[in-house]
Amino acid sequence: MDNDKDTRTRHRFVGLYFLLLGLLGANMVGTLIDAGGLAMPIRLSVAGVMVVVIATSFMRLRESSPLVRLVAVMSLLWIMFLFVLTFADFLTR
Amino acid sequence: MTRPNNETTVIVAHQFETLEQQFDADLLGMWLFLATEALLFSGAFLALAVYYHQFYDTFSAAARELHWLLAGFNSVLLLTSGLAVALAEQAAKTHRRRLTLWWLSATITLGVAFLCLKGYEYYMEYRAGLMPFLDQPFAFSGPDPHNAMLFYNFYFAITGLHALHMIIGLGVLLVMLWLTYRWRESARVARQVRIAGLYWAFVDIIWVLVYCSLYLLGR
Repeated sequence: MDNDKDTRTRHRFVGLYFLLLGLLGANMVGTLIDAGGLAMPIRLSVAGVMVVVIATSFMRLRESSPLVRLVAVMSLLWIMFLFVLTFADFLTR
Repeated sequence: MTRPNNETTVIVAHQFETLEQQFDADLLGMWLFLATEALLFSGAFLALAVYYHQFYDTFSAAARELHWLLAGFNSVLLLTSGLAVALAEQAAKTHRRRLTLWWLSATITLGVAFLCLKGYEYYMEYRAGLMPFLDQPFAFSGPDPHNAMLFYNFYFAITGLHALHMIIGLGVLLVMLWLTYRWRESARVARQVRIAGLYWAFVDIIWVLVYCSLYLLGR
């Protein structure tokens, strides 16, 4: 049973790795297409998905304790404060 | 501390009741450290975003001078090393010493290859006159070279900081390789490899954001 679980985990890692390569490729190919004003949000969103995939799977956030997940979410929240408050000031001058 | 008397006995520090509790505390400590690291890089990304907003055309023109395909290949190397360290963690968790050694070695090799390619990229930028320090003449041919210089300062500062983290990560992985080679207590090695793997995955995450913001956004 443990062997099955181990094999499944390894297969999941490999599958997610190919997903990451696909997302990277999509972002690179996307630079050859003129998407106008949508280009920047699309590229940032694809990079964001890659970050979420790495954090939840390779960093095993999904199977971590609630306290660890809380730390990860809080650090994201502080980064959001940093960006939102700075741009709220900068864009309204 | 209790001393181990065989392979199955593990050291539990005196302030913890069980190994699981100690492992949870180790993981929490590493995540807290990574949170501070994330804030460090966020400051640099925020400054880049503000200046990108202000000098979008100049920064985009400067970004187009970077070697995005080479850096894309480097991204593949780093993502592959991320997979390798995750597989090393899994091998250590299932008490397979040789497999853990193999995957750790693969991770280190890919990390070194990344740094070598990054060094080559810096060399090409040096040859092209795009290194606005070390008394080098700045040879950017596009518009507004003064603000383009600002972009390259961001580029070298952020990628340099990332490379520094990679060098530290490689040092940590070399220690893990040594600990795995000795294989004193498999549960302890698995815990140590898992925590080192967190740092390496974080370096991966930073590179994904670096590649997107410096190489791709301006194209």
